[in-house]
Amino acid sequence: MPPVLSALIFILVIVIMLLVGTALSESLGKSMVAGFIVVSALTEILIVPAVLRDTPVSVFTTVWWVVFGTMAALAAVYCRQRMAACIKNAAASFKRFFSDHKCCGVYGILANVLVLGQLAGSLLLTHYDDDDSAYITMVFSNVTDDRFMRIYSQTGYEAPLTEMAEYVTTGWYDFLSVIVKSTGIHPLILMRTLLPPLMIAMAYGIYYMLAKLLFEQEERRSIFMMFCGIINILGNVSTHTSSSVLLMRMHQGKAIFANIIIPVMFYMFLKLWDDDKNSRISACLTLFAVNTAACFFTTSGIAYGAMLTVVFCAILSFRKKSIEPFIVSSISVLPNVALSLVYVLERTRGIWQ
Amino acid sequence: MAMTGIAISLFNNILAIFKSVTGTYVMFGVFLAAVIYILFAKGKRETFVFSITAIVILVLFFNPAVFWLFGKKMLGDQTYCRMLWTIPQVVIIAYALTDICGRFDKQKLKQAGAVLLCICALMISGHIIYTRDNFEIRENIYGFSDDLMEALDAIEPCDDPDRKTRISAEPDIIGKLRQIRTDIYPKYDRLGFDRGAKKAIYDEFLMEEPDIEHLVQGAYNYHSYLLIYRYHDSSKFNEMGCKAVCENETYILYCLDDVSREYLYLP
Repeated sequence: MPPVLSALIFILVIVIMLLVGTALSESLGKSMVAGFIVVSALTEILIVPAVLRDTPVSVFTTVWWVVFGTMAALAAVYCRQRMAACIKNAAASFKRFFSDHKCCGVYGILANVLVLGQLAGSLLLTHYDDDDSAYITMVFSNVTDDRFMRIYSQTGYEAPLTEMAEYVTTGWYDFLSVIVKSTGIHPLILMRTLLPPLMIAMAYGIYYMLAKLLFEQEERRSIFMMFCGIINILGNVSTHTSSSVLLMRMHQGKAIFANIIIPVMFYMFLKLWDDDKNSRISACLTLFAVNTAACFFTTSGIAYGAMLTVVFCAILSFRKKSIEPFIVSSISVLPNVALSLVYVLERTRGIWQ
Repeated sequence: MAMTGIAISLFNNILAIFKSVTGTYVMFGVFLAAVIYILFAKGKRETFVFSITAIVILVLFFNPAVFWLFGKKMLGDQTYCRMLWTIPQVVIIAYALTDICGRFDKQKLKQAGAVLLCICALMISGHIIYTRDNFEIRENIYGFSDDLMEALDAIEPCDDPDRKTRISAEPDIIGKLRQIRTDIYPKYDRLGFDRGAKKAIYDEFLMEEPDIEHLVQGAYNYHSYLLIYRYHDSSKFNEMGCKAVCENETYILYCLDDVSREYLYLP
């Protein structure tokens, strides 16, 4: 496939996420994050049965494009006014950002330099991680063998699904296989060159969303962003910190869980805390989507995403002296419960053979 | 008594995991200080959403029963440390520091001093991530060295889809091979295992001065007629009848025997 066409299809995937997100939010940044979460959650719901039924990658790729292409087209038609407002708002705030000298304060400049430096670092430096011998080869094997998770990727022999149990419930690498299949981009280029800067940028976008929620003054937001940048750069106290995985392996599902899903969850928690009149159905649906996305990225997201939601909603219930938040959390962790059942059954009984 | 013994043993496991995650504990100390600061200094929302949630998660993390469930029965103790990721330490520390510096909103010089002090404290607590040994300057869009890419490019693809190109290689590159090409098949994974059995050639490769004869014999035993080895004097390999297919400053790709192509690609 010509590189230009590959690049265009890759951009189209991002546009689909943006369009789906536009139906849920009125700002461009929030739309991107919401689109990413919703597309991840829906892909997880589609992909787990596909993996268990041994659906060929090529067939699933067609299904994915039909489903999300339709959703994006509908969003483009029905939310065109909102989308226009989104773009207008983005252009206006971009203009304001420079005209109000928000970017020119010392802290603002430092924050921007730190974030841009980390983006440049992900492009100019490379880091070998042992886990990639499983993850990148898995994506590559899925595409070349046209089967999800049936090949032990490091040596290439066919493996029963029981051996691949920990990967079956997480759709991230299957989704990347869909992108590789559609675009023809080599998995190494996709995962080691294209994804890290995009994911790091999104992580900092979410930090900024949190900053806007936590602080009213722009200067404090800049200081907050600057500290986030510094802490991440200095966070190498071990390879297991969220900062280490942010800057070393942001293409892996666990890193996205730690640096995108968890901050989004806390953003949701802050919103839930503030909004007494918040519709329970809307809170439930949002947390449901975020929890499903947590399962999409890593197996540990199934357990720890649910745990975090339940802990927070229990605290909220206790504080507001109402059982409602706890009921909301119980419903929103249903995907985690279902997927953990699949995981346990698969590991213990090999029922899919 | 037995239950107490098990709980203590599980707790020791948790402590070992905690140490492996937090390193020198200093950054974690900064995080704890931030949690305590928010707990006492802030309004209700941040106190509950950040501090109380973080404290509850920490209590759960150090609970042997939770470790038994998640670490031993469900996910494995290697991934137990990820429970700490559910506390957004970066956000909590940054929030507390911003709040402290924000107290000097009207005294810009004092504020700058406070920011500088906080930065110094963070620099003492942490380590710069880019100083890690395994960060390298990128040589190409793939993110692997040009030499490795060149060595693997030299392997001709097999025309027959029913045959496989077997290869033996050093442990430090065995995990990279199938990231670059999925039409080559190492006989063991990056930890030296093939279908649950450890391969002896893996340990031979790990030696400082491997016995070349053992390496070549090992590769023959695994029916892999291609071998990638770090660059060095190739005379011993030549004596064993191996032929260098590709040679650069880092690696040599050997064909172990002057065999016909169909023999090279085993079914």
